[in-house]
Amino acid sequence: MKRIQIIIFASLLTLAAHAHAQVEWLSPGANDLRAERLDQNIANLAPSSHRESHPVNYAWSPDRSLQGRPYQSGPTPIASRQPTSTSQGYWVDATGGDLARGVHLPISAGGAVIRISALDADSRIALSAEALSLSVNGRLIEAEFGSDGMATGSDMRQQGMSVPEASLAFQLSRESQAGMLTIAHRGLPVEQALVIHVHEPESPWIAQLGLPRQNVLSGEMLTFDLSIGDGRERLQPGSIQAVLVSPDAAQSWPLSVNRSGQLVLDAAPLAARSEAGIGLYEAHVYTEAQIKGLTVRRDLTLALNIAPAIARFNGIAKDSPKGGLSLTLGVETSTAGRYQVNAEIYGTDARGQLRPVAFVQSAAVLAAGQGQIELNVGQDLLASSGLGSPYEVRNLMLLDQGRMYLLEQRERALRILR
Amino acid sequence: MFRLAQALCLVVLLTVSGAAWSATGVAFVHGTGKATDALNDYWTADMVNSVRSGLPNQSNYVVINCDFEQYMWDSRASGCLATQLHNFITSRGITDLVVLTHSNGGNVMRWILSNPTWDSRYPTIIQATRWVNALAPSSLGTPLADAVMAGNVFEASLGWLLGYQNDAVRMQQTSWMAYYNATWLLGTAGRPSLPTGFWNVVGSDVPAAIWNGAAYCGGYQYQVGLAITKLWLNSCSDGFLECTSQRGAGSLWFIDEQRTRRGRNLSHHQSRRDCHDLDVILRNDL
Repeated sequence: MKRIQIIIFASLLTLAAHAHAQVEWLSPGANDLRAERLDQNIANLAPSSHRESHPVNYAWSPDRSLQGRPYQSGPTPIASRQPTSTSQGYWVDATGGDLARGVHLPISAGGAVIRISALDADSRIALSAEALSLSVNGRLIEAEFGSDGMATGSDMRQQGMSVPEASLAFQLSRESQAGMLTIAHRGLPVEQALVIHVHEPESPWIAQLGLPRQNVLSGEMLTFDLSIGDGRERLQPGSIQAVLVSPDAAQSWPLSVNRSGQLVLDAAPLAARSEAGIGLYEAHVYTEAQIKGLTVRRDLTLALNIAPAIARFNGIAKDSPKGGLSLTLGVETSTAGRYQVNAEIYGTDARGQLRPVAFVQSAAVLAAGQGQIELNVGQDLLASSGLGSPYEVRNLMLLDQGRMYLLEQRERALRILR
Repeated sequence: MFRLAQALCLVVLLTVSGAAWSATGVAFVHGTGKATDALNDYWTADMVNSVRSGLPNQSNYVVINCDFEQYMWDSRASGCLATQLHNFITSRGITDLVVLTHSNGGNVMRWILSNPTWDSRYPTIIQATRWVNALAPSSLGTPLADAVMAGNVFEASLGWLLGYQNDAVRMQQTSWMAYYNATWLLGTAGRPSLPTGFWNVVGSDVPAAIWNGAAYCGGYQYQVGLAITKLWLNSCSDGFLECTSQRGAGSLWFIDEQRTRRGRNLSHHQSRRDCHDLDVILRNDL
């Protein structure tokens, strides 16, 4: 009799849990990635390159990575929330003929590091210190050509720096003046294509290129922040050239400068040739500014990815409390593929504060149309956290594994009440 | 007397059963490059043999040979690594795997740890892994990759940007790694932690002077270009990677001089060799 009573009580509890499991979507954040509608024009879309066909779900506790050793410190803090690239240098293309005549390079501080390389990695040309001549503002100077002050392509390759064998790098004296460096090298084939990299580690002038996020959907406006400064003073760029380059480097789109000095492209484009996992789009910026008669020249590159809106969460979210957390999310797709969902699950502690319970990832192959992906966090993981309802799902991401796209991202996504 | 015998039996049982339950193994995962004989070409037999001598069963080791000139998600990179780790784990019954990665090998391993749903073999690998000892991992990329990739796109044709370098070098540009860390990889600041420990060993300086005996460990020829390559990096580096990148994901295990013999530094090349007692530290960790 007593056993029957227990079974009835347990069943009632389960039913009550079902009855009270309530999942609600939270309002989208300002920096969330989300498609209003799916792209129907998917003729150029690469076929999905996924190899796995079985659904896989995996969940773990956030403190699992700290087990076994005394903790000294975690990962390097990220300096800026906004993805940013910085530069203290620039590149110039030249030929052997140009170098025979002398190439002029603006230098904003002493101690510049110069690298000359053949553009063709297989080139066998001989670059040597003996054939070089250097002058700054018309006066001959010497680089610090000691055993440590000059490196050949072979020396740099031994360090893992993947330069062509036909390379030569050296540093100008730290006492050398800023101004116009003229660099010449005799004896190279006139048509030989070369690249000269000028890096100015001693220069206070640093250029920065930033973007609110590195994942965008096609058609979104791209707005890059560009600055050149030394931490106290900001220089006004005198000239700017900027383009967005496709992952296969076959296409480019010019970026224009708006009234605020930002670089913009009205609608993020998609490359004509789409290939899964080929790499990222890149913004390239080439800019110059003047300060007290000196030219500060900088090149910048920032990577980003542009995805067509081929899938999104369709608003369906159900929690089936069958022991642990079992969250079913509806996904709408315009093409078949293997889709992955990432989620951080937060739970509430005794003081009412939300704390991380688990990270869960789930992936499945979905056909075009309406489908669903189930996220499961086991009862043991949930119980060991000591946290309970209300739960919150944060940093919810929808990814396409077979084409390497991030399709939706929500910083605060769902609240689950039990 | 009877109680003493009982206690002794219990100790013996616990020891024997403990050994039977847990089979410890070690895997050596190389960095950028297409390896066919990483034992000799990348790690050296001295390093591998010294480390594996710390195993209860010294044959429980594997030296990975894959094509890490590809992007980390490529089947020739993480797919190949997963195949070799999975075969090692299942064929030898490994339940307690310590993975030693060097440089970009850390990124390929972190791909597997970060994307357990990518391949149904990944969860088996993750479950068997005690932790990863990441020797000088390029978790945030390196300015040296930026320096060799970029050219002036406004002067040259765009096509050479692709042909000039392999995909692994492209991927290790700093803004590329920022993208992958924020999207596909875990363990960096502000991102979820990895499902297993990823413990960094950080090389913080380089002995390049010819009169410095420490510079000769692993071959002096590997130290010659350091004075120049360091100029692209900030003051804390191993000659190829800044400390911030080496500590960019996971947790710090130690900075070279905290543990090495006489507090010596490990250049990027030396952190894959039996230099300055690194092999002993790794052996004692098994």
